[in-house]
Amino acid sequence: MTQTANAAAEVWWRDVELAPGRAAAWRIGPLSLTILRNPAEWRLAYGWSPVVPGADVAGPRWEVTTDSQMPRSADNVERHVLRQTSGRVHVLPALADRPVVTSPRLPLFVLPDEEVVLYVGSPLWAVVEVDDPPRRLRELPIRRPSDTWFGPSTLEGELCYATSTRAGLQVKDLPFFSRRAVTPVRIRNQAAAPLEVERLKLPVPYLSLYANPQGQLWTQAVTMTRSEDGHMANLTFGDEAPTQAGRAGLIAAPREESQRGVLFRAFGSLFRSEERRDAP
Amino acid sequence: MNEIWGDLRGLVTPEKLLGFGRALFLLAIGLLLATLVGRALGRLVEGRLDVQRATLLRRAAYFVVLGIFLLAALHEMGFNLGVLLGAAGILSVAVGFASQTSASNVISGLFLIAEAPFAVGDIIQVGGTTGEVLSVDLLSVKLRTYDNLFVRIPNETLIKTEVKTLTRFPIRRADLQIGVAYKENLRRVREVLAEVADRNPLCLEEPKPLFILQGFGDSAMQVQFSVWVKRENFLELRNSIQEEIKAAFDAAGIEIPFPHLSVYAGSATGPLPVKLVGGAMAGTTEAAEGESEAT
Repeated sequence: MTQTANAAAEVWWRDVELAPGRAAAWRIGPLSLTILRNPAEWRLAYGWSPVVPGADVAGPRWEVTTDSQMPRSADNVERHVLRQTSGRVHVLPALADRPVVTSPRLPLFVLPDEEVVLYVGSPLWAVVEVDDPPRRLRELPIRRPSDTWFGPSTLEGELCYATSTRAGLQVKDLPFFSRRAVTPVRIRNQAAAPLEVERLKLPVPYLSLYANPQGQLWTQAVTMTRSEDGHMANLTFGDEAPTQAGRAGLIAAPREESQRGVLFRAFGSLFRSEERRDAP
Repeated sequence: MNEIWGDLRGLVTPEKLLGFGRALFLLAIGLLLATLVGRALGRLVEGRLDVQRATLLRRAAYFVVLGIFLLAALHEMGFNLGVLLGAAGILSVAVGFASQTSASNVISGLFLIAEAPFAVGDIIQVGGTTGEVLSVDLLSVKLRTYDNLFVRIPNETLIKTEVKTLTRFPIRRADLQIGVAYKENLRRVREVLAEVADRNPLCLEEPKPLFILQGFGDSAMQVQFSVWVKRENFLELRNSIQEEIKAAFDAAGIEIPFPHLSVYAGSATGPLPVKLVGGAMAGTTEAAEGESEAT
């Protein structure tokens, strides 16, 4: 029996029951993952198909097959052994474990004394948990984002993931949801000069992940306030799913203890002036 | 015989035995106290200082406390400390001359620990040796190289020469030297390289990769392409990106030349005459000669 689901209300983060000797397969964007249950081991096979530029929206977005075969060849195959397996497999979405630096595809300026809401997507990981109570076997990025450095110099800063965004201003502009989580970012520019949103750091490890019945993934709304002449932004975020998400439930708690109302280097353009360029 | 016995008895008087006992007692107390002080100090600075400094402080405290009790014990045994210290002074000058190198290493070691250019676990490069620091001791620093050899470097050498700490900062730059053929369009080369860097997830997007034209070499235009990477991924990126560059150049038809040698006789003379030797090729040889004459 093969169940393939692609309807809008169905989602890939479901529980699957497996009998011993049976396997289930997930294809989420470029990630393909097969999980086989044996009496005393879980076998995982996973790999990523090459990313074709522009193919982000085309092609099947996700697929869950509950009666599958282990692939003959996979990039990575591993065995997780234990005394006895129970049949439950949970594959859940999770946010990145480092902050995500997003750059708008086109230069974007927030004019003085203005306040806008940008919808920014961030990459997701698939977390494989088995048994009851759940044990975590692996975390796999759906698509491995590129590393990047966010800081005024190569000595001072933080390692982040990089993505680019359309930085849509309306919910209907948003890219596909089930492979990305969307954060509504409210930017307040209280300075006298326009604020160039060249690179924006989202503190993703402090955010929770919510899903609504339409299968869309959201994080809580983030507010970044740039005060007069400041290099830093004041960052706040709410406790619950954003209103744009509708009736959404919590899927994953934040990875790290949250820091609220802190001054935070959020805008790449603000430290550009103090940046030291390294000579070749 | 009896006289010797009498002298010995004179030496071992009850007072002297008492002094000896007190000295032993003092030494025992000193050992105990020194150990306790060392441990307490170690616990106090734990987490605040790195391992070497903590060890040094602990040992220093231990030996100072022990030294004081040792002096007191010697005093109890009836030694004249003034004379003893004078003798020690002269002895230390003699020993100092004899062990100049060791003393210099010890002093260098103290400076090295105070300055802390690296710590245990860092990867350092000294001269031609690269390895992980196993310990920083008073006389030398011990390294484990990547091919699993144990290397001892005297502290004096480390103070005098350039030491590179490879694991100091979280990100590193990998400089790739690439030669491209003279016929290639540099702008195209630049675009292909940028695409490769963009596709490789280990290569940092910011700081941006650098493209530097190093100059015009004998057989190729020399390009330096520098990409930034998280320190731990340095080797992996260095390998993967070179593979990807080769594949991308092949796909884009960009030639990576090897050294060429063109033999040219100069414009003043005609082309070099070529003569093929061998019976089977005789006809061809004549034809070739005819052609060369015609030109």
